[in-house]
Amino acid sequence: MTASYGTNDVALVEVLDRIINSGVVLRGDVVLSVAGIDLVYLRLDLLLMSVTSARELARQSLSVDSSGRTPA
Amino acid sequence: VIHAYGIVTRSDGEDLSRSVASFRGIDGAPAQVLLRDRIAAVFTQHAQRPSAALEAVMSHARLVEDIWRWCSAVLPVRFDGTMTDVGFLTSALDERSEAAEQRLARVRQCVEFGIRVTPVDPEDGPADVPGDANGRGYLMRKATLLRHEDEQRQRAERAVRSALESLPARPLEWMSLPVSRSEATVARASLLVRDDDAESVLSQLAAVSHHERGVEVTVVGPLPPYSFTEVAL
Repeated sequence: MTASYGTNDVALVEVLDRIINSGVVLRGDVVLSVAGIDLVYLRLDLLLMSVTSARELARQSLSVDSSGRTPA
Repeated sequence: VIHAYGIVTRSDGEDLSRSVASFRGIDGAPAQVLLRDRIAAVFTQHAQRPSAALEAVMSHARLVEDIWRWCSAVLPVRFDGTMTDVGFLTSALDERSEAAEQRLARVRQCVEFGIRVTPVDPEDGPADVPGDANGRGYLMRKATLLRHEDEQRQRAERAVRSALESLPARPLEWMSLPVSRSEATVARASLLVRDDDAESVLSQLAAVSHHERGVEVTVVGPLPPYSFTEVAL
């Protein structure tokens, strides 16, 4: 991979973002793991959070009680 | 399971199949070529789904680049191209062979460049931000800052657009990429450029980046044309 110019960090993010978010689509989402910790990506350069945190966040925002209301 | 890396023309696939065993993918797995009537795909086989670690992502990228250097054109498959078996890939290729072939013709002898525009000083806000002594003040301040960020993004996008439109060696295609409020980045874009024009486009973009005040323009590439595949298998 070649960074034509610019900082290496930005170049790496740009490259990773393309590999994960662009290209021919064959499947769905990806769970990335770095240093043994599973990380969920939404877009790599925007948000990396642990799978546990993401599931908790999803549970809080998506769970609906029997009356159809989301919990406060 | 199998993991796919890229789609190439049938003739490139035939050439590639003679040397592909020396190419390695994720976990060092030897690359293989699946030849179909008009197109072909490069993949590796694994006993179980490869772990989605950073190392695996980079191995994926390296094999895509190997294919790209070898072939006249490649449609890179994004990293999540893991399938149960070759039968799935065969059906996917056959169903979309015409679209893939057309797209391969478009990206032949082309490279992708990524552009990212970031403010030199991300903390540099508007001069007249109201104080936040109370709730209303807080909201006023927030609104002013958001407006400032939106204006900065619009300016950056206009600057990128005008820079690209003024280049003597124009990109074949370019697209503006979405930027989130959580990023310091104010604009992002992908360019599809002919091999022959790559050097001149690059030097022109470098010149543009020196003219835009208050922002830093980073250009990354040349890359395989990840952003210009337009084929969903």
